Amino acid sequence: MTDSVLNRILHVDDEPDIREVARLALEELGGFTIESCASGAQALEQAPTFSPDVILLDVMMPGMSGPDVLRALHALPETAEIPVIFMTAKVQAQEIEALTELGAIGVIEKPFDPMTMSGQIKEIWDRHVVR
Amino acid sequence: MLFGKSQSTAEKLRALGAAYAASLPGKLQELETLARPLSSGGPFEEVQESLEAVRIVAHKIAGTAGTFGYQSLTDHARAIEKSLKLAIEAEQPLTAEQTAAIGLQIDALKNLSAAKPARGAHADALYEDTVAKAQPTGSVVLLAPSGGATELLVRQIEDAGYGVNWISGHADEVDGVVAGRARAILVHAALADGFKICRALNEVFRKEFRTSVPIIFLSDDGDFRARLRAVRSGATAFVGAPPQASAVVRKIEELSASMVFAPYRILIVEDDDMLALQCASAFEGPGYATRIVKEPDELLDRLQTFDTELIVMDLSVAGTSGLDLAKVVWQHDEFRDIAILFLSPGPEFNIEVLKIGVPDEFFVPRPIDIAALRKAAVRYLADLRSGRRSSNFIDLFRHLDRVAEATTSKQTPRRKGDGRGSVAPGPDATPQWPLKVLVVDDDRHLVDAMAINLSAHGIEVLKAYSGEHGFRVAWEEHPDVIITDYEMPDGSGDYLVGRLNAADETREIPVIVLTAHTLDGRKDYALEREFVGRLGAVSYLAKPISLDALVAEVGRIVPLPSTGSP
Repeated sequence: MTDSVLNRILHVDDEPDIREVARLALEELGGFTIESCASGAQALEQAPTFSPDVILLDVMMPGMSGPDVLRALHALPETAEIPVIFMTAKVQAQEIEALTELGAIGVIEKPFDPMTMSGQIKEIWDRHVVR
Repeated sequence: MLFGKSQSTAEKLRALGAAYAASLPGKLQELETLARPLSSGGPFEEVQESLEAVRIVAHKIAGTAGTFGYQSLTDHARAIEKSLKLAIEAEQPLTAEQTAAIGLQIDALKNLSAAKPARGAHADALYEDTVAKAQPTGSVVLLAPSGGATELLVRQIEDAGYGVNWISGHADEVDGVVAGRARAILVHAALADGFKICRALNEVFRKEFRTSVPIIFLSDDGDFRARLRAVRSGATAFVGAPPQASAVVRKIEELSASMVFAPYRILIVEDDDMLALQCASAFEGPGYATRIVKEPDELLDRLQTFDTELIVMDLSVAGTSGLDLAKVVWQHDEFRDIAILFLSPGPEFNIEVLKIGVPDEFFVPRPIDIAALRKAAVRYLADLRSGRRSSNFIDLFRHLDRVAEATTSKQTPRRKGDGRGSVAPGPDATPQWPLKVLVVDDDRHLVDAMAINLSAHGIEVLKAYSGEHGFRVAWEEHPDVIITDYEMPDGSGDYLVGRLNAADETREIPVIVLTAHTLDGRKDYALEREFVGRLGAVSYLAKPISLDALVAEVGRIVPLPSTGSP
């Protein structure tokens, strides 16, 4: 059962610039608690201890890709239920469909707008909670 | 604490943007280095690794740059990524032409990255929004030198209930947004170049910001010469010998009561949030009223409810194009007087718009130079209000209307469909006989051959041998279908399709495009997108054409008695 309050977000992206600006957007403008990871492996390590409400996952990363990380998260009992939102520069309909079929609750397009990013995540979250 | 948390966030965003800007040359250098082996001309296996590496770096830039205000970099990087993705999927090395195109894209990235992201990027937008909202409505701007006398004057004006934005330096420090919202601007003669500043402010506020914010000149002298200089500098009023706060406040109240406020009304059609903000930031201040339309479907409703004088239209809008949206506007007589400034991502986007007669001055390049956008808009709007000109398209429409009036339409135009080749003759599309098909090609033999075949099916064939000629015949005869070569030597096939699409009377006539630009005579997606998607043709046929296929294609659009329904 998903907790209906969104507070903790684990953000995974190999680009340090993006991690910084997302942290600023989500912490200062969105009021969330953020933990950032630079790789999929790091995310798998952090997720059980940080216990995020949602994981914001970049699709194209060196080593483990976003989909690889999602599969690994789903395979672990303590992280299997954590909802995942993908972030990707590919936003063609069939690609979004493929990502949601993997089990993501939503997809955010890159480049994102730091001013509206929190709102986008809240919208996806609200839709997810209602389901 | 005037701005609070938002300002500090804005400052941090600005700092992150600056750090990203500083890192860009390194990223682009990496991209250029990785791309170098692509020009080797070797087989796919040899360059595959480089293709992948360049694609990943381009993907990263595409996904990041726009977040920091470099939307154009994102666009160019996406184009690179796309070319490489196609090559990788096809397992083909790049052609020399493709490699050169990628080189040009990288050059463009380097040039664009050298420019500071346009004002109005997220941080700036947030900052300006905060400044504008935080400013007390009853404020004045005071340009006066530092010193005890000025401090006293500031306190006394504040005591009278006005916020004072005191600038002791140069006029460049005046924030247009703040000053444009002020009750008055006070300029002290003791400031170096006080008279010049007064004149410059007058110029800016009257002409550029479209406000009638009074400019009050203050001077320690009260003689005739000082007053005269103040008047010549464009000041609205003079308080001198020396300026007493009570007299200044009285003058502010007196003048601000008669302020005229007739803002220019500008509609911004932009689906990209950041670009929309950039555009809107060009029109900050009380001289402008702006509305943003992000969803193309909302355009007409917004035009109805917002008494628009000028539309700023991005030529690149997701799912459609700025030109298509402009055409939607032009279809409505009541909106034809509204001028449109086109935001152009590149010269290639302008071609179709130029073809229908829109002058160069109505294009503003992206990335947006805020000052240039405002200047282009204000120049046009000022002329429009003063009656010196009408809309940028009105002459074009008058011309087309004259031609339309002179043409006796013999048939009800057939609907062209949605521009995706899905023309299905509905119950109201019953053709009137004989059917008329216009064939346009510079190859007269081919025209004759097509004519013979179409005539054999009972079709009346009209012939033309150039785009200009074809357009004239289309206007006069209003055929049921037009078949035109696209690549005529003088480029007039392209011209013809543009003209047909632009004119009300010919827009609905289904067009079949003939092209020799196909791969081994096969259809391909890029051409489909170009001719059917972008140009709005109902279909295209690859040359050399099969005359039977041509007749079948016409029959698909309009039922032929000899071929039956399609």
